[in-house]
Amino acid sequence: METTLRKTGALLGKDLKDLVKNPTMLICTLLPIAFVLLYAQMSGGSPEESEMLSRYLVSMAFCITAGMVGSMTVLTAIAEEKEKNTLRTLMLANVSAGHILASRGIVAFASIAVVDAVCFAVLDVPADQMGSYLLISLLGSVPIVMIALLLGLAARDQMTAGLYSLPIVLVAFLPSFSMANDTLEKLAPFFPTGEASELIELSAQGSLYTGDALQPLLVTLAWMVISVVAFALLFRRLSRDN
Amino acid sequence: MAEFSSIEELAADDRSVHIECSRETSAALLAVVRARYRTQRCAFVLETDRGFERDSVASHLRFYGSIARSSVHYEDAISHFNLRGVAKRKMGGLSPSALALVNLARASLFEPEMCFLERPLSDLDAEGRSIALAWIADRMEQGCRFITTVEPLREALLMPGVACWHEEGRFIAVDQDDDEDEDGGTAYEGDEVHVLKIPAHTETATLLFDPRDIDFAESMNKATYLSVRGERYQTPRTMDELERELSRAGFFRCHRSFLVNVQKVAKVERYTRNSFNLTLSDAAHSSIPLAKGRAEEMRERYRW
Repeated sequence: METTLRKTGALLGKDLKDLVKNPTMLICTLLPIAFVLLYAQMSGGSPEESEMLSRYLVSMAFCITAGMVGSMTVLTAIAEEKEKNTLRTLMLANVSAGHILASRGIVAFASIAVVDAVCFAVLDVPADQMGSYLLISLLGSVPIVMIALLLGLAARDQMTAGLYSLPIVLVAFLPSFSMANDTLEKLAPFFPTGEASELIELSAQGSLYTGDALQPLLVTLAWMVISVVAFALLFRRLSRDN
Repeated sequence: MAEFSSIEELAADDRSVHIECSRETSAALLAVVRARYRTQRCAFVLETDRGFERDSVASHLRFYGSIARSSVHYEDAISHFNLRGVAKRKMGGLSPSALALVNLARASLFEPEMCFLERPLSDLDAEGRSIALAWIADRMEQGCRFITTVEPLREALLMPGVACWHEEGRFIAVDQDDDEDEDGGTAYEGDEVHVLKIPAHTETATLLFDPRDIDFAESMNKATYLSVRGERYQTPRTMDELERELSRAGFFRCHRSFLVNVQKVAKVERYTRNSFNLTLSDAAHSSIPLAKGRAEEMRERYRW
């Protein structure tokens, strides 16, 4: 246990440092903040419209952050390690795939929390809801990060990682565009980030602790459980291939 | 001639072994060695190890130091492998020789009982080779087993342990010379200038070399090669014939497989009780093994 903590701790330090030093990763990680800042400029109508827009932007910020940060800090980062053989060097130094993924997962959740917090702070929403936004955002991001970890193990290099990150980003973003038409609106709740973004909107409306939140909460938890179980099942097989 | 009939047999031996083989064989060997030494402290250095390119050398070694957590501090490894000058440089911008030393420094952090190295000397200059060989010899004296894969065979002979080459699934050990001189020894008649040319074949011509241009001759896989200004030329002469002809021109049989132009020797180095190397003043600063039994003879003959 002590060894696991020491190794994961060392990896964590390295991965966090790399996140800051790698311009591509840093820009993609901070992109959701830029999006939110841009969209926030659109507000300017009546106070009701402004408030509605802010509510929408809060849930959109969550979706974009989960997709962009999840795929970048996990999938691309693992794929780069594979492409440049640093993953093999690590594994030959008696570092297990579990240590590596644990560190990458922690970096992903920490980055998501920071980026989400900045996005929410930029938007004009009640500050007392910050705790619940962040909690829901982190829970809602679990499926995306789990899928990204698995795809990171499956990706051969950064080119394939680029390809694999497309569906992640699309799936994560989709609920933000659910109002575009009826079909998307019907589909959105079944997507991993769909009901979590609904929960965030409810929270922004101040109706998080009502019956309306029950179904989204259950679906979000179900996605979490499904993704964690799928990860546990596939992790061993995929890490053996490395 | 000693030999190992399979990779498993080679891995099961407990001596240090240095093998001239293909990359494919090296990969197969790595897998077997990894499985066999699973429970021991191991260090692996592969040709493809480049490290995190945005990381500095010091931070790279500090990271592996905290993974290994042995009694070797990463700062000591930096000093030991003479990396102080590049400690702040990014891994991605290192020269191949500095990278090879960083990789060995990383291995040293693990204080390994088993160390697998792929082509450890290939990218090193004379100074780097000397540091690397000294570390290998030192570690070996402390009981570490080294398995290295090299190209060419000469590099295997530079390291203490069994040198062998891979051929059709078998690993054939080079006769490790030489406490008694089996060849009977050629009587030394003093250096004289003779009209003497050594033939070597290329695809289209036979070249005739002046002995003064030859840095050294080596025999490998039953063929003999001359090293002239960094190029290798195959000669029809056997090692013994060359020794007879060239001993008058200042050449010395420093190892069963090597005949060196003594005029080109710049440095004699001793790493352990049993391992000596000669560093030449040729363009590549080549290192040549000096067999233990012949070191004394060489010292006496040239009064060093």
